[in-house]
Amino acid sequence: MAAHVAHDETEFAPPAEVGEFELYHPRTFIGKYIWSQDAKVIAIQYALTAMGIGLVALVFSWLMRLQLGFPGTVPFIDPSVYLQLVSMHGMIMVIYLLTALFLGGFGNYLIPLMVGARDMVFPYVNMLSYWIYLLAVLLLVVSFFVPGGPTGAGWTLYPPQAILDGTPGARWGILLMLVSLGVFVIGFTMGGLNYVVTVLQARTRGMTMMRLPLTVWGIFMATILALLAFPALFVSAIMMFLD
Amino acid sequence: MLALGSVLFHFLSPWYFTPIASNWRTIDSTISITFWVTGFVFVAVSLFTAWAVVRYRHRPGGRASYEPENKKLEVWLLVVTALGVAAMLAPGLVVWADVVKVPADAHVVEVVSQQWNWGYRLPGRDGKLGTVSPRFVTDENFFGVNPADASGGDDVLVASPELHLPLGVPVKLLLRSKDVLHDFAVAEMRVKMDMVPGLVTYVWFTPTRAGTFDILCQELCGVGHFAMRGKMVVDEPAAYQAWLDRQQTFAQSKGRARGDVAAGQALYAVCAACHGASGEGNVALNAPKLSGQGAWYLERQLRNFKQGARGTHDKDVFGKMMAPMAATLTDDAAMANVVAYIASLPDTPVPATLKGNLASGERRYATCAACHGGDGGGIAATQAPRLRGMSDWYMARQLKNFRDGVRGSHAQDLHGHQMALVAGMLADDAAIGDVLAYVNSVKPR
Repeated sequence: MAAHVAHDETEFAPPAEVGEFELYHPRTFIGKYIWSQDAKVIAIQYALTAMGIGLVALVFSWLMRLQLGFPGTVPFIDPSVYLQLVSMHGMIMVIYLLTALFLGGFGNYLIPLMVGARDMVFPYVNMLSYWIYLLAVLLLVVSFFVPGGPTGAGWTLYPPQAILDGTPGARWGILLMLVSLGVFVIGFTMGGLNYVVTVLQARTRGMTMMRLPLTVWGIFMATILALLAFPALFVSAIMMFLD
Repeated sequence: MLALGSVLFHFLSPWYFTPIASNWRTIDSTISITFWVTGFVFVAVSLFTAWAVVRYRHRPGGRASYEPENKKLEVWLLVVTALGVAAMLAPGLVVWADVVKVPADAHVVEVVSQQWNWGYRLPGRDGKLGTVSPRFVTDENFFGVNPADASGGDDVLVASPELHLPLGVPVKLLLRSKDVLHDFAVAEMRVKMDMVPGLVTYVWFTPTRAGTFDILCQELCGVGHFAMRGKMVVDEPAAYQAWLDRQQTFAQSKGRARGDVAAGQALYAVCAACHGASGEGNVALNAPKLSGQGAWYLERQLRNFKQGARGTHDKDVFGKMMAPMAATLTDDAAMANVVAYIASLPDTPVPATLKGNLASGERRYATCAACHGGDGGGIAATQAPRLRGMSDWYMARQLKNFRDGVRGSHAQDLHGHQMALVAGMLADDAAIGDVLAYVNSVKPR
């Protein structure tokens, strides 16, 4: 009995625009799992880092709720520390966890699989994107330990509140936060260009845009929005840093 | 189960909007429509899912049919979704058109915010607010009213977190901020609007229920954000007019008559027994230094003592001793006279009695500085008294009183109430000692 073909389009699907080519094959452990250019490995790196820093933010949210439920029970949570917990929780959850996990993690893992591409179109830039993201996370973590602690200006970091004396972390904390945010935007832009170009240019034969799974459409649209929004954030971060 | 539980929870839950006290019932209706639309879709999708799970359960030999496109179904879903979204958005647009269109006869009130204070300005008899500019903002001119503008002289200035409004009269609030973002919100009025430095935003409503309502800042504005609270009192017209008549105009605040120093000297003889002949204070008698303190602050405290807003708490031992002393000042003129005499006394700094960690104190004092000034000199505009060079042992006791609810808990002591909230930031006596040690170390600017 012949194999069942649910939807055979070999007759009219146009030929692939990108021909078959040899992929990068790492041979060492470091090449395969650390400085990896494989979208799946990068996806896991993104996801693990995002969830790691997300767990920190989760602990912050526990501390906030402890203070709300049982005021004054945790001795080190004074109003300044509370605002720092709120600010860092919000910032990590929105930027360093959700953006990185949904776009960096799911995007890298699912886009090539779902559009039928062999890998992302710019594997090396993809790798750099992750390491720059990791640098942004580390800079954020460093801000927890500088004099005055991290910024407590709320996760919108709006001026002049963020740089006024009396706002927690108004000196070192906010500076590191802004540098971290700038670095994050650079890293994200590298990844984002990859997702968009891969979706637009590296789909397999017969995978028209209207046949893309909704998951890919979601990641694609979110990436476009982020690519449009983040440059403004980047410029704002630089301007406030200079202030 | 989930759908049924959610619907039951919605109708049985005690947590719903606070009862409305303004004309904005349409805002509530809009939200109710959204609940109905989303609730209907939620229930329908849940029921469809349950039906599909049963109808298309696994059967041996069953095959899924491949049907990637179904134009009829897509059009049908598109139309229903569009109708649902329109049903949610359209009423909001209608209400928003009303929100931005202020009635011509609306009563205008300007609300000015500053970390972490509210101030209100009402037009005087000319019905027109005078012009303002940041150039004119001083310790005495909180609103920055232009002294050269004739229409500003009769502006009524309310230097208190409490705003009174007449019942049933549309009111337009002009909202300004002097420093960072704030947000004027009164839940019962369904009013909430950001206040942005450099802009004048507005919001309008008609109070429909007399009573007292909380004004909250709902935009994070710094460490003292939680203490930025006010009160909106909606009065019957007669009570409103009586309140309005008691308020000072800008011209009156500038030309405020000073008390009679000679008359004050005679009255001060009673005070001198404890506070010292030069108002230098006496720790042995638990009487703080008075000389050098702002006259406006001394007057307010004397009034609080006299009216029972201070010195009535069971645990306020020394406050209870002061209250009958203040009662000997028969009227406002007597208070003004004695305060005028105190203002004429030499301001000799008193020795520090407290020690603490200066670095910790400096860090903590950054919050205090917003109202009391960077050098602790006190700011009349923010209703914050002078701290520098005053009796530190007395301030330590008062901070503990504020923190423990002994002071600032009386309903009429609005500024004391705010200070009680802020004093809660000082968790223990060591923190109080650190702050006051820092205050002792600052130099006047």
